[in-house]
Amino acid sequence: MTSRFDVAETFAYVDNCLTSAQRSDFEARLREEAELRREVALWETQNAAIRAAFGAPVSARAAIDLGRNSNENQAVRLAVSEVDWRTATSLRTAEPKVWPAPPRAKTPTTAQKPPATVAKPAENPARQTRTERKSLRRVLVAVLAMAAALFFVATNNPSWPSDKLTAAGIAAYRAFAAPAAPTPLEFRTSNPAALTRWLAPQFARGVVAPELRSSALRLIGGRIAPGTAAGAAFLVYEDAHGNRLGLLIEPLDAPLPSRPEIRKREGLTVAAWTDAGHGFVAIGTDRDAVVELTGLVAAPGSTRP
Amino acid sequence: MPSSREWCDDAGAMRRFGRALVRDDRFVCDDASAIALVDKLFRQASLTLIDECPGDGSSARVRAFAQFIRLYRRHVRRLAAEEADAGWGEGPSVFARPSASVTSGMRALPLDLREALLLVVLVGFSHCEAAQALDIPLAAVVDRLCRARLRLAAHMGGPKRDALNDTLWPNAAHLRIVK
Repeated sequence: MTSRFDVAETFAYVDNCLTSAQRSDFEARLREEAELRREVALWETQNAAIRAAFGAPVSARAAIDLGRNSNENQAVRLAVSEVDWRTATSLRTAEPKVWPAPPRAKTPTTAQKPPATVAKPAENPARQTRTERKSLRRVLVAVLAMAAALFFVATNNPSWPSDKLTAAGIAAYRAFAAPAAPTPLEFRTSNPAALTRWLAPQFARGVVAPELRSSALRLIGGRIAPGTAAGAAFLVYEDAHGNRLGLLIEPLDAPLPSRPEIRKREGLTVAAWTDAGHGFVAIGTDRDAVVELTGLVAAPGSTRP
Repeated sequence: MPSSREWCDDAGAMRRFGRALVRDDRFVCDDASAIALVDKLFRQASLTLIDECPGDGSSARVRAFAQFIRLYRRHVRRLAAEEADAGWGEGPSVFARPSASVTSGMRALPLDLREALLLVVLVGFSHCEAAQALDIPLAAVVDRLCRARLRLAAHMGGPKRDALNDTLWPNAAHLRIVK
């Protein structure tokens, strides 16, 4: 049974107000009590939705990642800073300031001459050469490091928020598609075109509910869920055995296309990839169904807005 | 002295907080008006902060947000008084559209609940900092957070508020809300 004290503690955990020792104790309780886990997931999801709705930066408070072994919030807290009084003062003194006139010399002959420049003593040529060599070496190291980084980016998968996207997919699945999910779907339909029409006005760049050429997977509906940086579309499917699968689609800032990466996280099979300016996460308990969903959605032309 | 980047972060956070706070479908019904009002309040808060004596132990960031909130409350009181004088009454706004989105749910919250929830969730204040900024006890902040979250969850089609209330306070069925 949840007591009022527990509620305060739950909120303190969700809002990152516990000390590390208190957080460890609370996480130990979280591992034991499924009901408490469900509550925490609900409030974390709501927090993420509020931040996404009002454009708060994600780094201020990361979304809950139930896929991690330890459930600590790894987000960087905003530094408590002092007001820049110079800025505030400059705001206040908006009226033009009258500066005193510079003092004039009485006679041009007594005007002060500019001080003569003092010639620097010549440096030791050997030392100068060593310094030049050092700076040249630094420049070379920097150029090589940049070249290596460029080569890595060009030859490997481009850096896109794979982990964050996976975490967002897991959180959305647990909140909206799992059997004990606390929050229902916003729009129930089995028609992908109807879901696309419902999603269209909610995203600046269109999100298309894919038409699956499979009788094994049936669309149930969709809703808006927190993504990595903004809102994302979360579609829920059901397979022939009644298992639910989720598909998170989030418009991203022009990521390069990447192939699906299938992983196992906390008993869930997760496939994440990018294509056509969107990030995708297919997630479910049944690996075969997730692989099938991934294959159908990642097929060329199925999800291009 | 903080760097200008920190001040920019604070200013951005305050503007974001302000836009979420003042948009209420009652006095401020569009984004342009919200931005204008927030700019005005932000400037006033910056100016009045200079005269404040920082001897109460609170950080400048908390004082800045507290000042912003005080100014906004004064603004709302003045508008409410004008509305009452004009005899319009406080009815449902014609601009409020029924919707299950987070923003509409936030606008439907009373001001005191909205302030607490936005300070903690959007700005990232701890509960103690929010209590300082709102000038209320810590228990009141937790209580407001709880009521705000329940209302928002109910608005977004989540668990019903009564059911959650029964879960959270099983022995409080005999209590009633007195306004």
